[in-house]
Amino acid sequence: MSELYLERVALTHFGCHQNRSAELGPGLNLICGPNGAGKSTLFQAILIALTERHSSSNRSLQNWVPWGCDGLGPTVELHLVCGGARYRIRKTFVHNPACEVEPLNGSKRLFNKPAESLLDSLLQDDGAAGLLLRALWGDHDATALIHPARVPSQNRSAPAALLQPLLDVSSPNQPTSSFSRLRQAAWQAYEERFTPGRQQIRKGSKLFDAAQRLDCARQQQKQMEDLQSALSSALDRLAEAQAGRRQAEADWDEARRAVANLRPRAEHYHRFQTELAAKQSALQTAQRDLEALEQAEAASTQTAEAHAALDRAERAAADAQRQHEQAQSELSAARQRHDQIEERLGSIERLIRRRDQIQAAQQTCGQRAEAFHQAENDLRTATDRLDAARAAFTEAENQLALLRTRAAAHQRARQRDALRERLQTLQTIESELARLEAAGAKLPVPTDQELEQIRTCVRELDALNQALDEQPVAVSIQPERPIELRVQDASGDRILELSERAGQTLALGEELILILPGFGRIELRRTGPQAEQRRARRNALAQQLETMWTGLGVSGLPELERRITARQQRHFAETRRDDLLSGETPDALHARLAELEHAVQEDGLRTDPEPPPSELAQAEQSLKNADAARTRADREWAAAAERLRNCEQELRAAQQSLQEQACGDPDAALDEIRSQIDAALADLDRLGATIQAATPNEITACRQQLQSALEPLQNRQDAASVALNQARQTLSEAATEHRLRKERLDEMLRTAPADPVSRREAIDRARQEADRALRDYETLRQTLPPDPADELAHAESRLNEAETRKDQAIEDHHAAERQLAELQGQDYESRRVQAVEELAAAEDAYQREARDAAAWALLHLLCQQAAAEATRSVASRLAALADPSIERLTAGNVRAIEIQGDGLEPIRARSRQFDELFGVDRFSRGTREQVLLGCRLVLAQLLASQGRQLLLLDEPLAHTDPLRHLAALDLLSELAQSVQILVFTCHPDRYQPLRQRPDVVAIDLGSGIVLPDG
Amino acid sequence: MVAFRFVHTADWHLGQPYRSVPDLAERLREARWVAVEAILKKAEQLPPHIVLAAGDQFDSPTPNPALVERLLETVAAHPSVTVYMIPGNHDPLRPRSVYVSPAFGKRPPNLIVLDRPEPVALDGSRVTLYPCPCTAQWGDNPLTWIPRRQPGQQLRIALAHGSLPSACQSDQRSYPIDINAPSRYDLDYVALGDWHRPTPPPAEDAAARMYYPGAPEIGGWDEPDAGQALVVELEPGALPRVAAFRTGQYTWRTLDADLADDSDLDQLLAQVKSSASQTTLLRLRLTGCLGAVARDRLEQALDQYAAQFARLEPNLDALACRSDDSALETTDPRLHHVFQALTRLADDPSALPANWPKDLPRPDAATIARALSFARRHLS
Repeated sequence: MSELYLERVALTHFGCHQNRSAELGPGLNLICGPNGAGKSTLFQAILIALTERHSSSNRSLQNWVPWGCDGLGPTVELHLVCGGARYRIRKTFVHNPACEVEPLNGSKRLFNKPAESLLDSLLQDDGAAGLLLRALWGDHDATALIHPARVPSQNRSAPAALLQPLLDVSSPNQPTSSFSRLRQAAWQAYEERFTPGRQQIRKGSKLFDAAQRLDCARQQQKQMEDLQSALSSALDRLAEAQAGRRQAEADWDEARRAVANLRPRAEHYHRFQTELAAKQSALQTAQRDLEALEQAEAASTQTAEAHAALDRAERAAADAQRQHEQAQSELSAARQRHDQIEERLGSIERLIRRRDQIQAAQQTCGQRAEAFHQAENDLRTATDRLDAARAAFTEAENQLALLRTRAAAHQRARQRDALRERLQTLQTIESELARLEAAGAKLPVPTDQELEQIRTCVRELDALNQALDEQPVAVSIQPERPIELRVQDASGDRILELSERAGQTLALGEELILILPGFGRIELRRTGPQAEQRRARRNALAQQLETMWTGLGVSGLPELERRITARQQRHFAETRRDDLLSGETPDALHARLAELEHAVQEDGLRTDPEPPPSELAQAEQSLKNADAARTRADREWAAAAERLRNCEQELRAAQQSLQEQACGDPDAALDEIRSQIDAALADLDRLGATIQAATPNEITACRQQLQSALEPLQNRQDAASVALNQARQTLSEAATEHRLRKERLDEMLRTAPADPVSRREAIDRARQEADRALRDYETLRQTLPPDPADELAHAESRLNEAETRKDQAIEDHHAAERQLAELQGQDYESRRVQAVEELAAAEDAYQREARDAAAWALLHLLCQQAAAEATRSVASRLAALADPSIERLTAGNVRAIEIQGDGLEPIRARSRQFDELFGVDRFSRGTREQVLLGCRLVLAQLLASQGRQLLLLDEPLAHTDPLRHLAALDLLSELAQSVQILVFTCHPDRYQPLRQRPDVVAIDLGSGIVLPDG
Repeated sequence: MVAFRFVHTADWHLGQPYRSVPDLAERLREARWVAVEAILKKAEQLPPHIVLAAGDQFDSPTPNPALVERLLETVAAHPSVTVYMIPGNHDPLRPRSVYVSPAFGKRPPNLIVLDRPEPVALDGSRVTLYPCPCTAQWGDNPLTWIPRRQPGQQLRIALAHGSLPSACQSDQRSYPIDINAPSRYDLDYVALGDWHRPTPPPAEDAAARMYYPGAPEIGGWDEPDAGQALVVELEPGALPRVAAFRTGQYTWRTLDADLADDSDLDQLLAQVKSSASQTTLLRLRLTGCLGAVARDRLEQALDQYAAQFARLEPNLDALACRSDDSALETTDPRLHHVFQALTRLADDPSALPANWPKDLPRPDAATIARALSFARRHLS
């Protein structure tokens, strides 16, 4: 790290400094001044010039804009010694920012970007060295030498790395770039492949691509395996289909052969069957002949038997006829007596029935009369109820009419009040219309477009007037003449004394002429060509507006605006008036009001309260209830009257029925019936059928006795009839059988011999013939082969089935072939080979990439470990170096410190009193600033080991007591041998011992004079 | 009597994928055609110009039609030679297989596919060939159908595809061949296919009657001695005279070496250099332990030699890396820390740094060596 210090600093328009410069010595420089003299401004100016680019948009730079003169950029100029060469650096910020670096050896000056680049290289601002230097210039209030946030992430331990060779005296020339290169390369390679946070493979990296390729290849391989299995399955199916087809074809052939074999057998069987049928026919003929002869023989025998049976049946029929006639005569006598008794019993029954009917009619008449009397009483009660309901309804009706009359009167009064109010409003609107008409509401107004033009003209005119009022002042100076002070008016005719215009503004056209004796004449006027153009335009506009105002009959835009407003208000009032009239005339409204007034007066209800709606509703409800009660009573009365009418009719019907039953007087009728019954009972006694009383039960018992006496006779007669019929039937059947046998015998004897002997001989011959035919038939039947029809049908069925199966198998075979061809047609083999090899290649590539990635990841992580370890080591050694200085600065209060790696931050200090490490923030402010100063001094000393460096200290000992202050001054003096130190302080007295030294430069900002040495 | 001579070959595996060397696949597949051409040329020199191919002519039962067409053209280009072939277990005779495909239907008359187990008379009926075609991927002993010797029969040859018992699993049906097949079936020669390595090698066992000629071109690292076919001479009552001849172009070589120091490394590199050829595939399987510098030298040398081989495939996974003094020649404690950590990690894999990426396997010796190599290259 080469030397770097300042020789001169100059500020122009920088904060409170308009123009300030200071020459600096290579050692200790004291910049003193009271508060507000600009020490911190000078400190910040040096810092900004070295650390901020001229084009920076840092807002804090606005703080250094010069006070009181806006528009000028704060400018800093530094004379810098760096690496044995001298440079002049000039930077301007904010306004017209610029950077200029001029090598003072006569080389070419650089501006702006190249200049900043050169400055960066001078300051080694590549991250690490620049950070260290900034630690020497940085904010004194910070707790860390280097703020960790300013360290780039990939260079986290760079400051420590830079310090390491400075600390390690055994290998001062060890290149640090090797590790940095390796670390950078590992970091980059790692970053290319992995995400930093989650340590996952980065998308788009080679490793990711290799993994993707491998996945694709595996999927492709899987697809090929699937296709392979599909192919195998298809091949299996094809083989099965082919075997099935062969089997089906073989089955079909076999079935076809079987059918072909069976068909000749079937034809042979049919021929045999025909011959057998002929034999059977001959047998049947012989059997029929034999049977006819045998039947003729049997018929002869049966005819003789039938004749004998006919004789027996005729005798039995004659006996049955006699028995039947005897039974029939006995039954007739018994039935005659039964009829006579039955007649008497019927007569008695009819008489009893008539007697009962007359008695029942008499009872019904009594019941009906009683019901009639009850109905008469009910009708009277209903009539009373109906009268009461009608009276209640009339009362409720009257009450409701009274209430409605009162309510109507009050409503009329309200209508009258509303009408009065409406007429008053109309009167008000009419007066408003009259007022608006007087305000010119009916006078002409411009259209909206014209009005907008007028407003534009007025605005332009106002703007022109204002612009003319604000016309800049033209200055004309004529020196070397006597100067007076006066004001000339716009026309130039009058010269006013200045005192007359005191406190007034200069009007357009006026001139202010200042005549200064011994100096000259100064004229100030507000005019010029632009102003003249404006004035001409203004006059034209004014003229144009004046014409308009005259045409419209107004004095200006405000009056016109008022007229337009009045017109709008008039329109609004007219609309409102029309709404109020609603198509009626005011006269009609007045007439209606008079009618209402008259009606209200007639009502005379001013003192009567208006019935509330609830009372009206209650009265209406009462009327409805009364009406309902009246209707109900009405219905009940009508029902009672109807019942009375019905009872009367029923009573009359019962009386008429009784008259009809009795054929006159009922009692006489009853006496006649009793005498007739007695006569009938006497007849019954005479016929031998006595009954105790004329009651239905006795009559029924008598009838049962008669019936039981008649039944045995009837049974005997029935049995005789049955026997007679049977005998007659048997006789008829025997006659028929005999006739049939006789006819059949006659028929048979036409073909068979009538002679029994000849017939028997014929029968023997026929029997021999039939036996021979039977033997022939049986012989042929036994040689008949089995019928092949079923077997043939079965074979044909099998043939059909086999044919169907064969067709299906052929179809299956073709389908399997098609499927296989389809699978193979996808260029399967080439794809399979390609997939296998692609998978192998992808696996190989992924393995290589993964190994490289793992190797880089390993290096990256190990470099991180090593860097962290080194940082800790550097921090530890820096702390050890700082310990003696800090002990001196704190007068032994602090004996040792611990420094954290990244920001080189002193974090803990060992207290002398307690011999224990505490956090630095637990110590006093004075001790803290001494600890930090000690660290910075050691850092400066280290950096200056290869060349003088610049150390900026802004009030570094503000909280330090005098004793420790002296120790600090000693340290600063010692360090100033190798480091340029700029101390900014407002306590020059505290640094008085140093000001005595010849090598110390003291700059007092209060006077701005650079004090010479000593 | 003139001896009966023929060329015995098998396992051409035309169209075979090369899983282990995908980048060379096309060249190696092409080399198989050259081998077939060499076989046919050899047969042209040996009356009666017969080639017996014992199955697996194609790598799959349904090869690319272009392959089929090329084979037919190749055979047709040697009309004096008659090629008898049987389907193997890779290209079995099944429905839609290559041998019943329409493309194969256009085969030249000198290409005869023996697709059924029926005796075939060769060389004027003095030789009877018993073909045993495969009809599926798996099957039983294919020789069982061979009838007894008929009176007057002179030479009996079986052409079969299957495995000898030493390679057969008991529960598999990979067409097992009886080890005593020649005597059991009274055969003068059994021409086998299926095994890609010549078995037995004729040079080592000249008294056999049953041979596998091996594949005519090497198909992988596990068949380094393939790449040849057999010329067989038969005479009744005499042992067959069998001689191998080279058909393959490529050499596949695996070099195992255990390295302990630089002298071992020099020796290894000399060996590698001496075997460099554009038709050689060399696989290095290295074990032992080398210093980082030596390992760098090894890797750089191998990178340099790679272009002189068809393929140079070093496997350094089992070659440990030692952080030697020269690797630690740095006073930068951070570099020292990195090297030490790598060395520790090689000895103790549990010393893995925190934040190790989730998707990566734990670093093995090869990874650590690779990291060391990267580090050294960036530092040099």
